[in-house]
Amino acid sequence: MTATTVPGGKTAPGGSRSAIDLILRSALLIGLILMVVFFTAQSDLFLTAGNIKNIALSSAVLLIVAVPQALLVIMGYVDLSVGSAVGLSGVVTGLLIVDQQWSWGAAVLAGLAIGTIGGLANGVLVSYTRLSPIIVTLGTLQLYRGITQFLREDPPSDFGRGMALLGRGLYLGVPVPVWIALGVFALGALFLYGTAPGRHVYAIGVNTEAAYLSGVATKRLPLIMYGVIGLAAGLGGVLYAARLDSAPPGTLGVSFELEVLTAVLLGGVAFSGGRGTMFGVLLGVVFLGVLRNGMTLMNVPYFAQAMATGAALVIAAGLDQLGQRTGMVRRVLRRN
Amino acid sequence: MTLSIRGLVKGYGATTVLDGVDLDIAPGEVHALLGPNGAGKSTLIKCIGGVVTPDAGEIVLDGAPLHNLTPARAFEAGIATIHQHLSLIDVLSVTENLFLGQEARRAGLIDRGAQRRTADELLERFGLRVPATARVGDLPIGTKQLLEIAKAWHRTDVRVLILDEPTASLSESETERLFAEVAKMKERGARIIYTTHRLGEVFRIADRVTVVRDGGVALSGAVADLAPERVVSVISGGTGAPTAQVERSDLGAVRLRARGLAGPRFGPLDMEVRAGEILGLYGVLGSGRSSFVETVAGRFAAVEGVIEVDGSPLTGRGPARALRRGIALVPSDRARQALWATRSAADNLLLPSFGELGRLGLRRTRRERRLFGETARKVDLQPPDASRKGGAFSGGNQQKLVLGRWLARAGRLAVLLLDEPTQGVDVGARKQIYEVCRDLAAGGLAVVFASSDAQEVQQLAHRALVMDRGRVIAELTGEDITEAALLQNAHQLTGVTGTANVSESHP
Repeated sequence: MTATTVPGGKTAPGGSRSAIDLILRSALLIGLILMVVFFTAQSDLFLTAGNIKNIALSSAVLLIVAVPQALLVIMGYVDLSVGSAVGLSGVVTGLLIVDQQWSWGAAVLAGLAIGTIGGLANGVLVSYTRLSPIIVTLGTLQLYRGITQFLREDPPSDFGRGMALLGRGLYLGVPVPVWIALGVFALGALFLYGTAPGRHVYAIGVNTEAAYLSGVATKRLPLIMYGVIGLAAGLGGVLYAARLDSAPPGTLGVSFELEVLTAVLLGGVAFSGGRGTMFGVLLGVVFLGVLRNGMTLMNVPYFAQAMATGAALVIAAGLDQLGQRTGMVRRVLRRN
Repeated sequence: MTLSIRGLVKGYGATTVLDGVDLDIAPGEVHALLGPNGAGKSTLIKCIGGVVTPDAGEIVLDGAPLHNLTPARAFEAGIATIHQHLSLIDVLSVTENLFLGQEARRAGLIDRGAQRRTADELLERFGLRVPATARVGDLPIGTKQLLEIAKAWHRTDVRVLILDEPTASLSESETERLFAEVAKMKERGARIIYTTHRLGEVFRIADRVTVVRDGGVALSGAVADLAPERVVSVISGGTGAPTAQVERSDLGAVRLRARGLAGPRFGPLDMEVRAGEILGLYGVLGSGRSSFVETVAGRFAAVEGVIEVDGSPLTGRGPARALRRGIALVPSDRARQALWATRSAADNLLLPSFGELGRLGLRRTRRERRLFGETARKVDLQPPDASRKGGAFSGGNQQKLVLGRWLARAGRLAVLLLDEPTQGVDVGARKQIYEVCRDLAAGGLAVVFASSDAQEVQQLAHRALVMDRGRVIAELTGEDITEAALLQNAHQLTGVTGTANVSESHP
């Protein structure tokens, strides 16, 4: 008598998918392909090895941080402080090399440690108090930036050969940061699909109470993931500093958190949690990278690039909603 | 001049919930609506309140037939329903709630003075001694309920007041106040329809009573003419004999023991459950049966007392700790507490097992598939499709997924707890779920379930404890667990056949 209803039509259909469904679900991929075709036609430079390397290099750090950010968002959390964590760890690494004459390896480890500590601090606050993740990480976004600028006013630079290799070196013709990003992506996918805690990520995001009652560590897993995203942001900061051979405290990583979030949401991760794939995140990152690069090649001014990026996000979200709706409409029709 | 309902029919798909119900209620009459869970009571109320559109039949109020009722139209016609889940907004004040959506205005602004005066009048009339400026969230539940009635009163000319299980969450003194108000409303000529599981109340405040069973009226008459035993026997289906009494199995050692355990709304109480035993906790909403089960499962912290598994006390808090000691829970609210609607059947069934099935932290999909197949067969999951989303299964099969979640790792369990194990579950799946519970008990687990469904307790339990307001008031075993005996004990009615040994709980 009591029909069990599923909240908000979140159920994906069990059976075959219609053509409309498939198109809506692959909207981002189709958009990416159309964009590549368009930019190739518009610019001779676009589809060259050098430019593809550029796109990959400029997307590498974004992917490194987008992977753990996606895992957090699927669980129903978010980290807005990553931009400042990137800045803080980049500057710490830089000043240790320049001011303290640390070896580049030790300085990089220190940068990663700073990022991880910052992330864990977010995690403890979010998981073990009832504070909202948005409030906590919006606060630490400003806190970490403040600390960064307190540590040093002018950018440390000239980090030497080791850092140059890390930031700009090639291995098999592919830049080192791109290798690292691919490694992070592979680890993220292995974690999400190949381990038990990966299943718990979805369980927490879809129904926290059910996960809690099933024995899932509903507080510890997000806490660890905040540590991981801190580590990833630390890695991002180090790689940015290495590539630039400089770490400007006032600008390194500024508004990076919004880029990461844009890529993650563009990739089909639901901001309300419970839904998203690693492939989608990769697609979101590549989509953003190609869009920016292509428009730069076409000499599109920055303000227009920003407008295009924003429009892409809203359109992608709209198509996603539509996809969810058609799935729902079809199910209702089939049932009757 | 009455409210009369004629030949009301309502079905969902193949199942008929209401099959030609007739009902007449005169002005100034308090009419109690009784019946077991799933009998059609709530559908009947929803039809009168305009929430559900009947397939056939007529509702006539004061000579005017009401067609195409919606909740808004029913309300305009003077039919007000007070649901168990109140519609008040906790963060707003009493006055703001009373006027929500119908604010008194002057020059485009809310006329606070006028609202305040009306609110004070209403509070006075309903004997509510709370300031009109109080925040509703700070008020006790009984006051909120009266406030909800006052709100309806202020907005429409209430001719029919429907109270759905109004006393379920009230304390004794709050219940008294509600009854006093009901008596006053009765004098004003309102017709009051009232559902409850507490039979004792019916004989105190109702004028007439109707028992709904299997979609039809099984009994209707004036309270003065009816003996409580008669009502109980009609609610429980006439016969007092157990329908499918289980064999009393040979019991093993004590697996679960509660010593002086007290938690939210129950206790302190002592309890022992042995290996192979299925213990049923029977009681109405608010009796503490669910709180007890949820406390043992670690969802609530115990206020005092000890929980022991296989002779050693449970330490620490939370369901994860309880699970590590082998205590698993099938919660009552499937959608909110147990199901991942957008995740696959495999995820739903295997989530607590993924770690144990894997090696070196990595999942082993072949073993997962095998375990899913085996478990799906044991619980008879329909369809047995591992990739189908949890929310796409029927209620019964969703429950099989939740039960299967623990069946899949039964070897690591000592105690299986179930809270309303077959709520929203069809008859076929219900049998399957009982079968799985019996198998698990036979396999050496202690099984404890809480239920408000007397028939379920009769069918499944080896031993039953009747609970009321947090205490155990009776214990029944084997053949003595009948619907009639359970109802009689729960409502403390005398003179009904069936033996009851009142067991003293904690001193």
